[in-house]
Amino acid sequence: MPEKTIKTTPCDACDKAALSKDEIGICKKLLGKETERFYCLDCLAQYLECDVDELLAKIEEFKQEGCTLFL
Amino acid sequence: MKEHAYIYADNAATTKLAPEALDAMMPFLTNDYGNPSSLYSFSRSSKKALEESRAIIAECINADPEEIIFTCGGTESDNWAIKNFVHSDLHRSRNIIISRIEHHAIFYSCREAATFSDYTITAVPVDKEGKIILPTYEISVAKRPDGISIMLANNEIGTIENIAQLVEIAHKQNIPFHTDAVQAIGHIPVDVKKLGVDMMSASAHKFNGPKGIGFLYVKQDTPLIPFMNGGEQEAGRRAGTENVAGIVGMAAALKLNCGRMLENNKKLERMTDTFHSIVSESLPCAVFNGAFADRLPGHICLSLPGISAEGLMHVLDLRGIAVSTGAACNSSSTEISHVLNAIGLPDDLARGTIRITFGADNAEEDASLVANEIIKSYKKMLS
Repeated sequence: MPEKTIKTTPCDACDKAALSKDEIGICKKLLGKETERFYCLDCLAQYLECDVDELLAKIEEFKQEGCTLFL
Repeated sequence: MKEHAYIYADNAATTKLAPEALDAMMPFLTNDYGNPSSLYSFSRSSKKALEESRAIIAECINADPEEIIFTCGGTESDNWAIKNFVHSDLHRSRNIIISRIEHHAIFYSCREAATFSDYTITAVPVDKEGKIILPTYEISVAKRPDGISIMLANNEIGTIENIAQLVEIAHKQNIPFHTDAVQAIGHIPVDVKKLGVDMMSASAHKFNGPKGIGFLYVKQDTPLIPFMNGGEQEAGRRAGTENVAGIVGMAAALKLNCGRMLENNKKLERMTDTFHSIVSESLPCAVFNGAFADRLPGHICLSLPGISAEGLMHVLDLRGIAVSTGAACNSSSTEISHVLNAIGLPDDLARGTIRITFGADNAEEDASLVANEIIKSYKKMLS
């Protein structure tokens, strides 16, 4: 049986290997759907000069609005 | 991490309630709760306040008090004006003229008239500044529609139309004219006699008054169908117990804004100039939309290529700044605003369009802070 491979997206700024669906979603939402740069929440918060908690609050709001980037 | 207090730069969406308006409202939210329609002495103060507020508002727009009808806001006033065209006795052509950049309160009311009352709607085009294209307008008016509704100032791009000129053309054909002045009243001088309009919509929360209250100006002797039935309030034209506190707050806010308009607008012009020069210098690709001269004070509509305005709006929010976007995310798709389409803005720029609207409560230094944060955030999004 061939080995099943799972494609993972790493953080562009640190060594975190596999970003979560929420981390990928928030990067697309804030940096643009076509972005090729993905960050973990800590690095994104640092890049945008905001708090991780604020990013988490945004993610919850986007989910409640039904944004498909977080499905 | 934020280097400044939260900056609210979305005053075209809503404004902060003026403390003077709140003070004026408080007695009617607490002890003076009498129904103005009641006949006993306890209601006397409510009734008196209602009529005094009507007189104050009328004076601010050079109208007569009996020409002011209280509504629950701009949307109701717009709906009423369009329904009045449809249900009036005219029915000459079963056609209404609007512009391509009207608010949805006008668009959707017209769509209802088209769907249920067999009306046709003529949406007159605008030029790249958002000004009505006069020859096209004149051709449409010559077909003698049942009514015309064109906004005084646009909510997205801030362009101020020459309503007096449009009214003059309409009245030569005896066509009633309504203007949605929601963004203009309390921000630029509005004189209904100089404009010549037959009806005009206003909303209190756009000029530092409370939410849920507005008015419709109806020129004397203009036929008007009742909007709501079930009581004799507002001379039998708009039934329902009046929102006395809201009405009193609206009058106080409008009087305050008209009194400080000159001084405030000078500040807003300086802020707009500061913002414009900082952004233009750092981002030569930036496009400023709307009319250059005939524009609402403090109103900036900025397009930046290669980014999503929605993303920029959220990034700015995270950086402590509230602005709005001309494109609304509909979970899976991003629709471009009909106003930006109407002025012929290319899609890439339309998708990157934000609206910055400074108001009376902004500090003058907010202009440079917001400009620099936009430049910084835009560069981060692009890099």
